[in-house]
Amino acid sequence: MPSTQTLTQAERYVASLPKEEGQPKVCDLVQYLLIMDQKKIPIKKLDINKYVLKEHSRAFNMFFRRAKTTLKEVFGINLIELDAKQKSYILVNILENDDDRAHLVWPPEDNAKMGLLMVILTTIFMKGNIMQDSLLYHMLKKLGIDTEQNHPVFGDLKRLITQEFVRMGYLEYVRDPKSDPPVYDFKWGPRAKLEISKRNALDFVCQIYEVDPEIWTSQWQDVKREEELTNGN
Amino acid sequence: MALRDSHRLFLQSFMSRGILPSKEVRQLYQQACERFGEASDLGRLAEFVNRINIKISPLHLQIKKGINEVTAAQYYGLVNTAESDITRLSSTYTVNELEFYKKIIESIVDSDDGVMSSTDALNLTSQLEKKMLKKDAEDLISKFERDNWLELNPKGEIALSTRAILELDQYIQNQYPNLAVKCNMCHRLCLQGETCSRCDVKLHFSCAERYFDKQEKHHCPSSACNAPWPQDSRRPCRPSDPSAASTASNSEENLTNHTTRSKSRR
Repeated sequence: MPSTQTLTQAERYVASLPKEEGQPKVCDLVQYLLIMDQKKIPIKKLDINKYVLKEHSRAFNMFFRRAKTTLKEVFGINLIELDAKQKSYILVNILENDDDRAHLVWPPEDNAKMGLLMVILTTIFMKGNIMQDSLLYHMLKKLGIDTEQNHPVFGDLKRLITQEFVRMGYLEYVRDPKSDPPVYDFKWGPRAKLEISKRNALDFVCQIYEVDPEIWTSQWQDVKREEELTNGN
Repeated sequence: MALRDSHRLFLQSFMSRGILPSKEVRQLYQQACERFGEASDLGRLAEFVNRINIKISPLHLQIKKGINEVTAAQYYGLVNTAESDITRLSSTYTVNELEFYKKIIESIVDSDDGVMSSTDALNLTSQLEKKMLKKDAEDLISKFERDNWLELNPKGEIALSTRAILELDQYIQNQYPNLAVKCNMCHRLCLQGETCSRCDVKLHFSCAERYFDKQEKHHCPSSACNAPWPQDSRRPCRPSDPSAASTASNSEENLTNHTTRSKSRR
């Protein structure tokens, strides 16, 4: 049981710290996580140790757990592991932003970007959770968003879609391993899976077409499967 | 005492918006209570805010009340109480951009009337260690304005916003102990206000209004000076409800007063 052992070790270590050192470190960590989250870039364990915990890095688990509790109890935010291999984390809001009476606001550019992202995620979902890049670009062009040209609000669209959204964890942009010459596909990134439910995506489409969700048989089943899975957990 | 979801929603809104007029704070409080099926009582708003403040004070955060120096409207802002530096801005701006902002603060604190012309602000770029183009500085000033760190008055002059003063008054007082003047009445930092013609005494417009209201002849509140105090045309009429609808008409009034004042100065 190595994990329990490190935990007790860490606990003993924290307990051995002078009282004034433990709590401020937790606060520093919470502040660091909140600030990094504003940029929507996943936070790496390496960086937490390097910039916040420093010589107290060996007690990472302990500080991490305490920060997680504070974020949840004070701010209503979940601290979640995004990538177990890379050891990176993101913050996910527990309190949903009500569309009619939004308690959260963003600058207009961010709002526009999130609108575009929602369109992209929904399209990928409707296409069976995977979509070749050229197809997505073609679809966007039909909506009046030409990825070959500089957009007045989004700037370099390809950079936004294939890099920024990918770095934030909203999209995955991967090469089809069987393809030659190489072909690239888009999928939902890990953050999208945590923040946006498939039902949200399907509801979005239904609103546009003014239809019931059940008419999209395979997507509807996908939504049901996802919901059974979350409820099962 | 533990926080409830209503507190968390309220706090999240402050994290996202930074500063809210009192009227919207009351609406937010009611909305938060309603959403989680709690009864709201505006008389207990202070208690509600205080409970949040107890939980966030170890994180050097505080929801604090403040007043707009010109309109006297009341606001609530989420501020960083760590006095070390301009921490909260550092996540959104680069080092050089912050340097530029600090230069603007310095000029405004050093000015008599708490404002500076945008031309003077743009000229500050020459004092920066790293080069900044005038065009970029112009965009940056708009960004500071949009993010509520600077305010433009109707004459196009730059002033520190209510949010900036709420967040940075300690920083300003620490950095510029000899330049920063406190209001003789409320003892808070005073940038835009009325200044005595003879001594250094300064008053917020709204504080002056309240103070002179009780006096027949207006004199400097400093007993050592006691010089006659002229009626300042920028002083707003006392609003019946400082945070409500009267704010809009006040700022309009200020607009006209500002123009007459600038003419008479010439």
